[in-house]
Amino acid sequence: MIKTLMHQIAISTSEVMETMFFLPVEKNGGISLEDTGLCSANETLAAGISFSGAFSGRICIFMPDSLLKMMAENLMGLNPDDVTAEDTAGTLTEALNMIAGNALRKIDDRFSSHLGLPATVDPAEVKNLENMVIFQTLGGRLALAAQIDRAPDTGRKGCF
Amino acid sequence: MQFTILLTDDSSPMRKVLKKTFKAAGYAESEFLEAADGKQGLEKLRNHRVDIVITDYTMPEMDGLEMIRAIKNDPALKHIPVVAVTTEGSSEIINRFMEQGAEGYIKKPFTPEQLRDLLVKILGVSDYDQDTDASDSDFDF
Repeated sequence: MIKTLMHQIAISTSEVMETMFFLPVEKNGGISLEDTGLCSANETLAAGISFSGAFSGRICIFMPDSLLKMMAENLMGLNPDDVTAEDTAGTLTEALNMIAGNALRKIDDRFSSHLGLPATVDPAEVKNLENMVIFQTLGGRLALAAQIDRAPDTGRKGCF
Repeated sequence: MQFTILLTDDSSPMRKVLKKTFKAAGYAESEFLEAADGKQGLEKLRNHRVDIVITDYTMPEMDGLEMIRAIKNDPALKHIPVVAVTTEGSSEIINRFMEQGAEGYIKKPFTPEQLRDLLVKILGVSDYDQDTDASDSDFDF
């Protein structure tokens, strides 16, 4: 199930980044979050969202502040100088919300998932990053990680 | 044509995006009211004359589904069309929105054209439609 979820997160990220932020993305294979510097850099922002339903878990997103500013400009049609910290934080959580909702919907349109409220988190405190997909965009790299706590039918507990 | 439009979403960027999309879709002369959750949205509805409500699903305090239920159960408000904008677009959730009386829904991510088509269907003609020279490329979204 985690492979399916990661696959749909990759497709969904591409769709959301292109449709809402006008930033085509390219998947970066064979590199870790450490290679990107996204997990430790001061300028990295991260957000997390939990989901529940037929299966439950959590999805996190990481990206540099510079990319986020570009996304906020594109999303809201703002001038670079007009982008506030509230705009960037809101853009980050909204991007994650759209990617997560769209990915879960793609797994099964009948699957009634419930998304929690997305919230910014400290990138250094995010654990269980083994299931991750990294993208390159015009404005820098972004990464998405996911974990499933409860899979359908198996009753299995814990992270993959 | 001028409308009063209530945008209910806990995400401030998404409210800005919706406002921008409405303007691009030909509703630039409209008045926009904003609310961060269903509770605030109902308060605005009770104090203003509103032509259409656009609401997110997941919000703190009162979510979009509860808000639609409250609107459609209130004789003074039930005539106001409501459009749900949701990331959680599973058939079950969409059905629940429609059962509560929503006039339409749109799934995120959406294009300006998708939103415009829905608005024209519900609100009728927009300034955009009256401009015969306009084309989709006029959207600065």
